[in-house]
Amino acid sequence: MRCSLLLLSTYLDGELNQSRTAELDAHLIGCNRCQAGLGYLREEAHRINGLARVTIPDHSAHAMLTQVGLIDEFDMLPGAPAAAPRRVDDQDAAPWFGQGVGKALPWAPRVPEPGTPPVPGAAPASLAPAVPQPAAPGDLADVEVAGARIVTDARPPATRPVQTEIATPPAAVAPVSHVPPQEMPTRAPDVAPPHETPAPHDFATRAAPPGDTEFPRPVIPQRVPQPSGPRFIQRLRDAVTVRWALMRGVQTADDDSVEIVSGSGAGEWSESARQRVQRERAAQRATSGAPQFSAATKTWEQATPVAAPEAQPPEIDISAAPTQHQKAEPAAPVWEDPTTAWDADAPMWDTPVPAQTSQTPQTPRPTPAPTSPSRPGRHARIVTTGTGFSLKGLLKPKPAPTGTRLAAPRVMAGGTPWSDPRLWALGGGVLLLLIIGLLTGKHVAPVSTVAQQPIASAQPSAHAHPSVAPVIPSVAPSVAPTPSPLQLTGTRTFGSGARNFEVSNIRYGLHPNDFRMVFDMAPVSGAPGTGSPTVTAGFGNATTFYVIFAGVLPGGSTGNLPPGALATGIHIVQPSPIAGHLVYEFTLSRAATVSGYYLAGPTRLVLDLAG
Amino acid sequence: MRVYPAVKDSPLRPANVMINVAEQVLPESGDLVSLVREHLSDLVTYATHLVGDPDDAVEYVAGGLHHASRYPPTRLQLDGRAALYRAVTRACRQDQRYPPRPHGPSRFFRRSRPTFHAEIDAEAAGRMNTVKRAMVNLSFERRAALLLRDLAGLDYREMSRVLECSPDAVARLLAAARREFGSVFREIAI
Repeated sequence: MRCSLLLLSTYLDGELNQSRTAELDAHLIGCNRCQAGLGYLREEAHRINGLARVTIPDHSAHAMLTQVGLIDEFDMLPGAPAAAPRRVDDQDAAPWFGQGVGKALPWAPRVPEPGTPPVPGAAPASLAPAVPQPAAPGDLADVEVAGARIVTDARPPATRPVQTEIATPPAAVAPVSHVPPQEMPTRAPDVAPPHETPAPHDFATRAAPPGDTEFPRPVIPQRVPQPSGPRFIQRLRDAVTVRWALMRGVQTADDDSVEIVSGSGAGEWSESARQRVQRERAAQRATSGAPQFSAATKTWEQATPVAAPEAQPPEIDISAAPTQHQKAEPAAPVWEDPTTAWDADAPMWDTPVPAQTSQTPQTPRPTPAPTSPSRPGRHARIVTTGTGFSLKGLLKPKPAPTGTRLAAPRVMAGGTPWSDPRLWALGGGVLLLLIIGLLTGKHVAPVSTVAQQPIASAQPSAHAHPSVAPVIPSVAPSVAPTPSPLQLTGTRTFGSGARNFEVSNIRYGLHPNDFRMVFDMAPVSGAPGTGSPTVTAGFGNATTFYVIFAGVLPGGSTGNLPPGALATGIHIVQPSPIAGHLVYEFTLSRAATVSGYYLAGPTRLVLDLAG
Repeated sequence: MRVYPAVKDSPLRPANVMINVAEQVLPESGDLVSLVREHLSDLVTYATHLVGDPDDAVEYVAGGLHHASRYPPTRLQLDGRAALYRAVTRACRQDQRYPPRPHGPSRFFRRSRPTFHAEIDAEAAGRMNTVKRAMVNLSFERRAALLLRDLAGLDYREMSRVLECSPDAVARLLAAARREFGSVFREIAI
């Protein structure tokens, strides 16, 4: 038998048949591995079995099954105790959300003792006719209904009493106990007085109809529609609605925050309704002579212009704060300084004291011709101060916001964004960031020396001797750019840095293992000719070999390459890509390595190419 | 269904007389309620450890019971418990809650449903421990298999109905689940 976790797991669960179980039992005796595995499986099963359990009480199970729809609200759970189910939401709901819902009183309603005479003048404790008292309170099963408590029992119908008690709080009973019965307020019509015979099928009175031995029937209380409490969205909606209504009520008919955009009262396609209404009203005031509001002066003035500036205005004491009614009086045309004009809407602590105007009366100014329709109302002032941009308007501190000003947002009032210093600050910040970005983003790439060298090489060499004519090689100069010594690979450097040499001749030799090149160096006429010039030999690529002399002039020919040599071509790079340098370019048939040395007397450079 | 005595007594019943088979098959609603009440705590326990959260588990159990109330198991006395576990498992797997959560942008404009409320004592079951942390690493099917066998105590035949597979597949699934759970638990515990 093979060791198998599947077998052990099935064996642990007792799902193996008898033969396999016996076989595994025999196997477990001698297999320590399976014994350990079975022990692990038992431990894991024990751990999972030890997970915490969830307990659901009966009332919660009843509520859960009720909400799911398995049982009715007043059905009993099978196997559950006979106690009435507790409605959970009743305990949490506020008492004013519906009658009978929630805990209306902080105390339990007092149930009159059986046989206790009713309180004179109070509400009847029992609406049913006198019935025999129940034998034992333990037989009763209480069913709480909205506002009433119905006590029933399981005894035979003939001897079964019924008692319906109105849950009356004692606080409501005590104050009215001294009131005579004839002065008591009339009860609700659905409750019959106790001395009257109830209707045969009046369910509210719970009275037994004549001849009905099965009474009382099972009470099926009708569920009262319970209004749910206001939710957050509803409260938010109400708050917005109320604020919106208040905002609309505070403003005048010329409110520019509310505009009719279509339908009756709407303006033309090219103008808003507000502009049209204001234009019509301005024209009406101009023709009727009604007072209109001057936006510039913030005062009410006559529509007819006062053409005589020399006319003496009446003596007016404006030290007292005018009221709205006084403002509307056309008989007091007064010009006021806009900066010191009394603003009824402004808060009192923000009102500047018109010192000069309180001492001396103001001289009236002629009313300018109405070029634009006047806009009375406090919104008009906001619009007027915000139409044009001025530095004064920016620097002028804004009045302290009040509730009414908060109700009318400035953007809705039509103020242009020019008057908002925050926008200017935002624009300034964006401009500053733009400038910083331009300054920091101007990147100057460092120009490499390699790139600069060909430019410098275009200039004539300072070391070029005018008397020596350059040797023009037979091979056409390469168009490809010559790499600098920094870009060569496998470079070797020889020489002590002497100058004023020239390459008088180049000789070639074929050797068994390498290809030898001998550069015969000769000093320029008049030069001492000591030392050896600096030579850099390296490979531009695998088949291009460069020999770069510093401070050396091309004095002789490049010689003839022997056939079958490693180098197949030679020419002098002209103009020299490196100023003051003589560059030989060899074309190789294959990749090679270079080695070399200087020989003195005469000075010769020996280079061996091995490939 | 009403059967007239003359027709009932006749040896040859006419073909147009229908016999209500559903009366013989469909269980009484009271039986289902009794069964649900009997296993409600176990169902919520199983769902709690299956999904990891007691609140979600209650909604899943309610969704499963709602489905079971609409489509009650036919053989309630035989495999009623398995049917309930199957409904709850399916509700947990397919995220079927009760009340169903609205989806899409229209839920912002829809009137909210009455809230579902259930009081359960799941403080200990909701607490995370090493065993639950190890079970989180298992797949849903393996976790369900472990819980159905070791926590709910279902046999392989009932588990095959719950997990909708054969008993042999249940055995293999359970063995694999135990192997993975053991390795993860030892790794976490140590």
